[in-house]
Amino acid sequence: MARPYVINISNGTGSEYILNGSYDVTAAVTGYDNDSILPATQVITAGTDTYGFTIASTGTLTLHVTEDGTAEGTPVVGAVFYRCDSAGTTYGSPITSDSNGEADFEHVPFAASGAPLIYYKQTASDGEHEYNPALVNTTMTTSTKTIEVENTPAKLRTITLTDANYANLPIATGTITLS
Amino acid sequence: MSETGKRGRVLIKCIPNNRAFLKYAITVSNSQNETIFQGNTSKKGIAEFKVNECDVYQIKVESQKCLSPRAAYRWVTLSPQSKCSLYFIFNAAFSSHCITKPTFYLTDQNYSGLPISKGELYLWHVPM
Repeated sequence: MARPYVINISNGTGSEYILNGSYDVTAAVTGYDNDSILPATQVITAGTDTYGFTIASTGTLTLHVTEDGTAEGTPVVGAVFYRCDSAGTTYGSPITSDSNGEADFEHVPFAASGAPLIYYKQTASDGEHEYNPALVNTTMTTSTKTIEVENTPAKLRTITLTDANYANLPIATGTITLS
Repeated sequence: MSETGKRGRVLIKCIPNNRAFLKYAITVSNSQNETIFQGNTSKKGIAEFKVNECDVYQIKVESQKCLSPRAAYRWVTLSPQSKCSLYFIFNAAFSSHCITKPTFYLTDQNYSGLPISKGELYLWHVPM
């Protein structure tokens, strides 16, 4: 068989001079199942400037959310996470921690060496715990990995309510709602 | 051209620089402008013919429209004992209407739109 055209992909895109025609498509992407490339055949035609391909991976990244960030800690239910790119843009559906405090990212890449970075971030907790919204990354050398995530209980805070027209005059009773 | 034996056989090999499998049309004429062979190469660009008499032959190789040159000519002296190979090189880079430089996007199948940070796609030409 003749040598193939090779398209180097960087940050999701690549470009190459290619003769119009019909082609079988294969892939070499570290961390992914290269047999999963879709479409597996592609017709290159004049006037078409873009072609999209997708590829899948089979790893599972578990985020274990507890109050102290340890495997034995009290689990936090309802923590929400998203997969992201390096810029923090979210992709796919969110995952939410269950009664064990576990949230799984399925279909994430892994490789013994050269595995790509997996970016994610937490966007919410259960309303009673604090969380770190920063973008986080990790790599996986095996098909599964568990990361401990700390969501500390909300701290006790003092709120004062006084009369707007009589400085410092406390309001005897009432309710303030923060949403 | 190289003389390598006594039994007559002329091998034509057409080589495109784009690695594609393509057929080429071959026409061989003698000095009297009589066509003594006409046919196509295989998908690998190979054809073979024999001559019955010693003469100066014109060999015309026509490429598909997307290659340059569209036609290549060569004049060679051949005898019934001639055994030689003739190579014709074709270039796809000069025919812009058949060459495109599209952008390829590779994203994660399970996280719609998530770009794959690094990798390679291979496009293997399928003979028509």
